Amino acid sequence: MSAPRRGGVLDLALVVLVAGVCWTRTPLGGLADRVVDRYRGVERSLPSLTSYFVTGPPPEIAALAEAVIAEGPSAPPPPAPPEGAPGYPEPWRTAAAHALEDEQAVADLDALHALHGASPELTLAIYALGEEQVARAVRRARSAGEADPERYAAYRRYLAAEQARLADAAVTGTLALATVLDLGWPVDAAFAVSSDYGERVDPVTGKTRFHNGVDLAVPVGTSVHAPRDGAVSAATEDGISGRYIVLDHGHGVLTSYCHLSEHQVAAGDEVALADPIGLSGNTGRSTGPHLHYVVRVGGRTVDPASLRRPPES
Amino acid sequence: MVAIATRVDSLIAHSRIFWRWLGQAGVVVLGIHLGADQLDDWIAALLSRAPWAWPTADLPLVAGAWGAVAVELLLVVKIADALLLTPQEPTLSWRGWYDSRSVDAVVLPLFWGICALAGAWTVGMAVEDALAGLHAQAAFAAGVAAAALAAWRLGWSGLTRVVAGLADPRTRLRGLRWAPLLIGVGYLAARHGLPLWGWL
Repeated sequence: MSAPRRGGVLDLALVVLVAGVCWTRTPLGGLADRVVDRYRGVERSLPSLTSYFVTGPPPEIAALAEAVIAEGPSAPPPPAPPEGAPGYPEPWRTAAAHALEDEQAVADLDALHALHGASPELTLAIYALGEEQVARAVRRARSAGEADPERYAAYRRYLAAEQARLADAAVTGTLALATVLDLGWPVDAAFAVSSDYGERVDPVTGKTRFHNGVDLAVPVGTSVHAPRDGAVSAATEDGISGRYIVLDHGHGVLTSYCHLSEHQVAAGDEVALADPIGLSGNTGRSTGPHLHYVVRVGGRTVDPASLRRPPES
Repeated sequence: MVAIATRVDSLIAHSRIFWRWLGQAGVVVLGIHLGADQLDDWIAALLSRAPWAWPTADLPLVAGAWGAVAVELLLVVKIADALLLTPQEPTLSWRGWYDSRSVDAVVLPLFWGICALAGAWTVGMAVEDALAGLHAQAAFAAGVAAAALAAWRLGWSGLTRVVAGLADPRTRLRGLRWAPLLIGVGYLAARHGLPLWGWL
């Protein structure tokens, strides 16, 4: 193959284009930014190399989630939707009111929801990115055969990196908070909380330790239910938690159920709200029958107690 | 005027040896990123099912993202190695490929071809994103044209260069160590980086 003597300008233009796209859309470009900054002696805050991937909700969302669920019913409700309009639905509405810093956010979401009638997740992305960008990214995800192209996690990779980063905090943070607020309770709400979340004297070791969930006083064999739909990410056992189950509810929200006597699901199973997942017990490091219930958002635990609705009379 | 333009074009064409490798590698790097963008979820899912308790629940997620970054950068080294050690304008022949047959001779061109196509699509998406504010349909057409040109002028030329540059292997198992990584990321790039599956 002899060297073609034509197309030099075209090839050079393509190389410049490809190099530019690589620089802005890949971790290699992020690395190149760091090298250039170091060479030029410039110090600036650059996004992490992992920000080129979907990395879940921002870390501060756990603290916000804890504050919102602690406020419980006393939390100020978001502004009401315009009369006659469907309004942006709950729990996304309350989540957006807390997670988005813009005071106009809920009103904008109401308007977008009324205009497009899209899913809450898609409406949120339209709010953060604009309708055209979201439509382009969804179209690309559909072309690539993504199973659910209207899910942010599915079409994020077809956005420009800087746009994706811009939308991440608003979209993933609000979705995580909405998912937490939508959690039900894993056992009948009539069962009392026997040990609260937070610092406490460990009943086994006698030392002060952080209790990362709540203990529910339930007799052995009580049916434990999924508080929301999700996937079983673990159904196993160890010496401390005994038989335990971890459910992944999406958007960085996980719930765990420890000291069970029996698993009724296996890792990889999909569960729906209120599906039975196991029977409570007294396995692992436990001083009596109880269910240790943990809620994690973005990898951090939050106090789930305020998610417990009053028992139905 | 046309003569001057043709002369400039020819002069630039003769200097390809110095810069075309950058585009040939870049288009594959973009394809690798589309594949690796799914890899972090895979690694995180795998780690979260490990039979031990992680110190913090988000550790598998963090490890997944950094694992994907590491794999992506490692594959950049592999493609740079495959590209820069080959002649600029090699002669491509079936006989030459057959003589050099090894694990690398099968896996690397497949990986390269898939990632170059996925990368060309990324180039098309970037062009469309940049021009969308002017005219949406024209931007889409420009994106398709840019993707086709990148696939042909950089993807194909890089692929032929890599195939023709395959050295005679000392063993047919040459490339076995890289094969799992190339197959894994190549599969993900094919699955998530080609705008075909939605039509099929």
